[in-house]
Amino acid sequence: MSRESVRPETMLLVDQSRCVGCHACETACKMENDVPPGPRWIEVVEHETLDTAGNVVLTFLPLNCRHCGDAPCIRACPTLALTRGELGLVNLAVERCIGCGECLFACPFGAPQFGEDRIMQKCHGCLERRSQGLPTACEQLCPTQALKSGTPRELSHHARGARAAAVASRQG
Amino acid sequence: MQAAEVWSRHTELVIMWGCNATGAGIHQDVCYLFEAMERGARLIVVDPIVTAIASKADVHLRPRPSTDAALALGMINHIVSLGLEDRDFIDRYTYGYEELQAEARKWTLERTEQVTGVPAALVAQVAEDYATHRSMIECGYGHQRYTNGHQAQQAIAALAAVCGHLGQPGAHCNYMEVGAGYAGLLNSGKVQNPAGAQIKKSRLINISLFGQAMREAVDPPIKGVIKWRGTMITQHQDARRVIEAVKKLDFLVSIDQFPYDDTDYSDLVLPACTMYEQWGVHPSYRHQYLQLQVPVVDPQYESMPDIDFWAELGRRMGYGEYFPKDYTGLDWLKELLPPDFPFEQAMHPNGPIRLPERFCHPIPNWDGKYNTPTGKIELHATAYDERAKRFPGEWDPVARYVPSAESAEGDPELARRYPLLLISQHPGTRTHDQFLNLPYIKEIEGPPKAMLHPDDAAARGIQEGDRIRIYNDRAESFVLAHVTRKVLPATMELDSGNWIREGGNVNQLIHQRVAGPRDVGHGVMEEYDFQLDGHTTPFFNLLVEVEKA
Ligand code: SF4
Ligand code: SF4
Repeated sequence: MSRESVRPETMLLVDQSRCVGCHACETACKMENDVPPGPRWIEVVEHETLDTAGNVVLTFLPLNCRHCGDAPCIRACPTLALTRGELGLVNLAVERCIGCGECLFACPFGAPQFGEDRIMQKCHGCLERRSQGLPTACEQLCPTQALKSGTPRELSHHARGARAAAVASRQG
Repeated sequence: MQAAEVWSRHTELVIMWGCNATGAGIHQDVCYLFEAMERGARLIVVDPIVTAIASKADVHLRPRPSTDAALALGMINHIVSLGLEDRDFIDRYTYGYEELQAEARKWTLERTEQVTGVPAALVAQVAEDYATHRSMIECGYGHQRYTNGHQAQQAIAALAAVCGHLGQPGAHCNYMEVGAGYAGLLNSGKVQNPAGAQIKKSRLINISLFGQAMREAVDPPIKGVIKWRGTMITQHQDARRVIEAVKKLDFLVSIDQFPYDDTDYSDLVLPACTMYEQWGVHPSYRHQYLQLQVPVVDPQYESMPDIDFWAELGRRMGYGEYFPKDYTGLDWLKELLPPDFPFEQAMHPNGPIRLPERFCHPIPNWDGKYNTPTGKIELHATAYDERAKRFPGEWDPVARYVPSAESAEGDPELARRYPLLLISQHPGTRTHDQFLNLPYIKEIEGPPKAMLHPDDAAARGIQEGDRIRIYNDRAESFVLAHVTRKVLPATMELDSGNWIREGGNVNQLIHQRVAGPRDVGHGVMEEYDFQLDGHTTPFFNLLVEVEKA
């Protein structure tokens, strides 16, 4: 088995403390890629839990393809339809896909989608937009700025900066 | 409201009261709120339902529906009993404090807990935190959708006044104030009643009693209606009665974008432009910015911009001088807006403009001036005393808690037969009943569902996903059950805006009734002051029973 471990050069950071489950990212993705109702390249999943004090709390998780650095779907695909592409994104060659669903079974996020033709489709990471230096479509439309695309280094820098600011404001 | 870029920087605590900001207005100030919170500000949400914004809060208070006035009075009493009120502010800027205090004194923490269901310790904690921090209150419509909604709003505003949390950066109490600034900016008088036109004052029909009033109006009777930019049937209380009234009309014209309940009963349906096909102005409820809406596509098929329809109608009725031919939507906007309005900037995709300071100060009441008869914050509303001389009603000038009409406390008799109070939130994925026809929206929403507490569901043998019948003496609605702790026991939720023709409409279950102090009879009025007389409709005073369908 060839394990493939290229570090992705672009990622999408999901800030769950900001996501409010409005589904705007889903709409943005549909518009950008002309995806009909049915397959959802990004889907926001709501979860209801009780916190330690017994309060009911909702959490929201926008789930798209994470373009994993060591992608189980690439390993699972028998026709080599899934490969590592530009900017480190996991690329799908539709013409090679036979719609067997192995990627879906392997993916921890349920990211691979199947349309009416039963051929796989999924988030391509807005490769074209990213190459032009633009944010992904979902990032651009998110009204709470819960989504942020960038390299792992940039996203780490961003998250650490926010953390430092929060700590500073608590001390100040 | 206070400018978002001011309060978000200065406030230490925000109370979102009856305000589902994330579901119905996410574009308005949620980002600013998150910035304030990331800076360290605390968030308190008051809402019987677990919304997304409630899930982000440090403390979520879940009062029983329609008991908000009791909660606010309980907080005031606790604050005063600890001496945390702002004496200096009260003396300088308020009128009627003693009367308020006498009312608040009845609300011990124990009684507040008894009525609202919010634990006394939590009421005390939030009251103390609110009083001792630089605090904002952001009000929505939630607590106002009851017959006692005006009292709730008055009590909440009184809470801010008692603590002196007004008129300073990061301290304010906002309730839909944009109207004033926006109305100042727009010269609508000039457009609605141009010089020389001499348009006579006409009767007014109360929106809450629409179905009834349409039939009661006799002098002259209402025979025809042109219905435009609003829903007459789907969104009105007791929608079935509205349908009866509509059937008696000689002529109903709907200007709409797609077929639904309203168009089913129309003699003529004129295709309306979407907002993408015509000019418009976009202000906000919660921030001080405004944008011009620029058409990005031509009117599709036979649709036309609303203004073109009305202007053409005016010309055909012989009033051509007031409706110049070839006047575009932009020309009309130029009549509405001041000559120095920065059109270019307001049209730019990245360029909303701030409402000019003369209409809308970044810090309202910064000068300690209040636009009331006494010039002070009226904890005793003298304007109510004046209204009481002219109109019947329940003009209690001081905030107090009165159980609301159709609720367990307000109508125990009815509550025995219909024990569940049904709240209808605005759907988060649409604008009221609009866009329900879109498969893209249906994909996200799924079929219409009503929320039901696990205890209530178990008592009726209802499980998640079951088809249920929600009913009372007025109507029945059929939807799927969503069994969830997001609602309190004895409370249900069904989003507004589902079409009657699809079976899941909530409004047909609601009684036709007005909220607010004024008794408007059958709803045909000569005069109406929306800020004093009412302002909202008691959509949530609604008792139902539910069973497996
Ligand atoms: S489809 Fe799933 S496994 Fe493959 S890269 Fe995307 S998230 Fe990872
Ligand atoms: S657009 Fe942003 S806030 Fe809305 S669901 Fe998506 S990630 Fe969450």
